Amino acid sequence: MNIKRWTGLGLSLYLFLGTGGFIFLLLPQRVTIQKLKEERKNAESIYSQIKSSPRIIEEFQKEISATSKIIKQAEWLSRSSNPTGILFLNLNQSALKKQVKILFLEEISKKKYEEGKKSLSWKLDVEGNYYQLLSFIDRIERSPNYLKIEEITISPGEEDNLCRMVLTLSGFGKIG
Amino acid sequence: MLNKKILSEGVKCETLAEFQKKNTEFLEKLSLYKKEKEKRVIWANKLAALNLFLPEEMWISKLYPEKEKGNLSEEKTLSLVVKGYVSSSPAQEAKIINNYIKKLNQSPLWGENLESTRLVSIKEEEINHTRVLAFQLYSPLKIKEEKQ
Repeated sequence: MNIKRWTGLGLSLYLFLGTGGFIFLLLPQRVTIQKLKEERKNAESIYSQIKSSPRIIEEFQKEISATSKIIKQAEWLSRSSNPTGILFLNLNQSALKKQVKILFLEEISKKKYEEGKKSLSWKLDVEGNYYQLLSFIDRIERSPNYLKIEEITISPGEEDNLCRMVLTLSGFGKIG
Repeated sequence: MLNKKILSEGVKCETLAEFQKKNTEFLEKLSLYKKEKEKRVIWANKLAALNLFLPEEMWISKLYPEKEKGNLSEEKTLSLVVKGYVSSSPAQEAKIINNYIKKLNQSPLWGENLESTRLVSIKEEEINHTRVLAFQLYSPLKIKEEKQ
């Protein structure tokens, strides 16, 4: 009777210790080993990249600087504490070049887009003949400094051959 | 000597790992930017085409993109909306509008990124005591808005 009892107890204790050891010792160890294996794989892949292409760091540097330049141009307005001032400076240059008169510029909203991009918006009122206004818009759209024309309202200008356009503009805030 | 070599390779590996992380971050930003840029309507060509075929009796008042629901699917289509007026005899107005739409649809300058243009509404109005017909044209953009 006693032997049976002791055997049962021994078995239970063995099972208990075994399960505990598996849960608290072996499982965390397995996770750590897996993590270390992945780190080793990464390190090996990086090392083999360095070995197979000795100029890889310089190539990466070049790629990063090219991408960062594009992103800077996309975020050109949000990089200043005075985005409307910067926009006015930029638009005024184009307006002078295309002989268009800026009548009104006003910041209208700072809204948040779904993908984490903040957007800034303005209303811009300009006057000129149709072709001057057209080439002014073309210049805005071709500029590497990103601006989106959301809406255009056209009305007659002060003089016969002149035309007025109210443009709703928007630009990126910080991306991501 | 060997230690020195191992150390220098280690530093290189760390720099490269750092660059890879930075590059992934930048590429994500760039893809967001490119996606947004692709959705942008380029107005200069559209304005040139609108003016090129504009008859004397007609003028354009507003241009903007707007989301409209597709007829057969629940997919939202982004359309370019053109609002304008025509001032002529009632017998001529329909002809003038339809001719204008026909010419726009044949123009590669107008048609870039746009599907065929159609009339969606007309409304009689009075401007400076003159009877005019306000119209609205829709041209679906070829880039579809994602479902929300």
